[in-house]
Amino acid sequence: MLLDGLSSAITGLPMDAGHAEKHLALWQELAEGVSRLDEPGMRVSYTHNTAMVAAAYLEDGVQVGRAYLAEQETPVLRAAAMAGLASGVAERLERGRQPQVN
Amino acid sequence: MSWINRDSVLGVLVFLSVGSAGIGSAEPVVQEAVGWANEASGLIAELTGEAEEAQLDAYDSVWLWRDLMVAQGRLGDAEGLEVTAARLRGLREVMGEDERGWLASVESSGWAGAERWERAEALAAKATGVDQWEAWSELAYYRGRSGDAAGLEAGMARVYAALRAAAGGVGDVDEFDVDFGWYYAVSSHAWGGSAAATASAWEASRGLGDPVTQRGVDAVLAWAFAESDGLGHAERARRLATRMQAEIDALTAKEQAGEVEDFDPDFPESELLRLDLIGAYAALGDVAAMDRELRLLGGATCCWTG
Repeated sequence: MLLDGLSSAITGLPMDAGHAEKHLALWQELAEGVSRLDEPGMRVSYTHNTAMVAAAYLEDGVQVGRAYLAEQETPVLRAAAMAGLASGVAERLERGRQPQVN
Repeated sequence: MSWINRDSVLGVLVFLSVGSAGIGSAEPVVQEAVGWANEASGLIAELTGEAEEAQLDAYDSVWLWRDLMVAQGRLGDAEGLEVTAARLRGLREVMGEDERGWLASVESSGWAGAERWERAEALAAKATGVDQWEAWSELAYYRGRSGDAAGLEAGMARVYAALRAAAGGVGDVDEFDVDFGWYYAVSSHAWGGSAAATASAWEASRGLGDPVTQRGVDAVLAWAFAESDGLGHAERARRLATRMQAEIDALTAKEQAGEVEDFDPDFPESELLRLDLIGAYAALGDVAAMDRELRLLGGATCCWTG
């Protein structure tokens, strides 16, 4: 449950410089929590996916993601991470074009 | 973890500013993302199934497929989008006829996220009851996200009319479906991308009657308002979050004292509500409040992630 909370916190943080350090710290805590689990089931893979979506928002998050993918040997987490990184890049693309004020 | 070199990352950390020119100047990254999505699609297909050796339960994979469709649509990968949609549809063979309506609803959501409106509408039309409300809500949400405020409001009006009719006894749905439909609809509406949308969602959700549904809706609205900080909802989010925190703490105490009827220890209502509250505090930038809620969740015993 704590990992769900961390995941919520990550996705809830605004993507701006004021929250940069907190964002990354939460992500690390989440990733470390995931690494301690024996069976990466749905909640774990989805949480992992969400973390990577968030990571892709970071200017250097894509590079960190690449490094992670190069080392990740657990197929289900690798798949979730790749999907998350792709989603994150797509989200960035969408936010860039979307009107911010109605 | 070793794969994150925190110092080096922090040293060069520069966030994208919201409303920037997007990633058009980083085209290779888009191509790389297309590659990730395609590889993920193949891997998930290999890992998914009902057999014991499957690493991803078919049900568990559904939302990953949906998210991949959205990503591929936005990345402009039409071919990959079709392949992923076909893989999602293929789950009908594994999951059976009973899930046909739900899978159509999820696939509709994927097409909506990819902004292929006609295909999304066609699939939503095949769903019924709560599956159809979900599909319609997602369609309206993505209309709003695409900048079509009128499409968002018109779509949500359709959802609310159907929910009110169902609550009045029209249609073959149960009370839980209607409650879930309200929660889903309000969330979609509030996150539809505009100040007007969040205000409309608030108005539509008042006086729902069932206290559990109302608490769920209010908690998610606190988060949605907080996310809409730039649209002038921060103060409203703070008030609602404060009220919800008091309600959730009281509910936790009742759960622990055994005073909640039909209490499900695997899915305590207070823990689910607290997740939305954490999102709200995170979006408000209130790290102290967020940490408090995280600690309370950390002491919880729910089954989901250990």
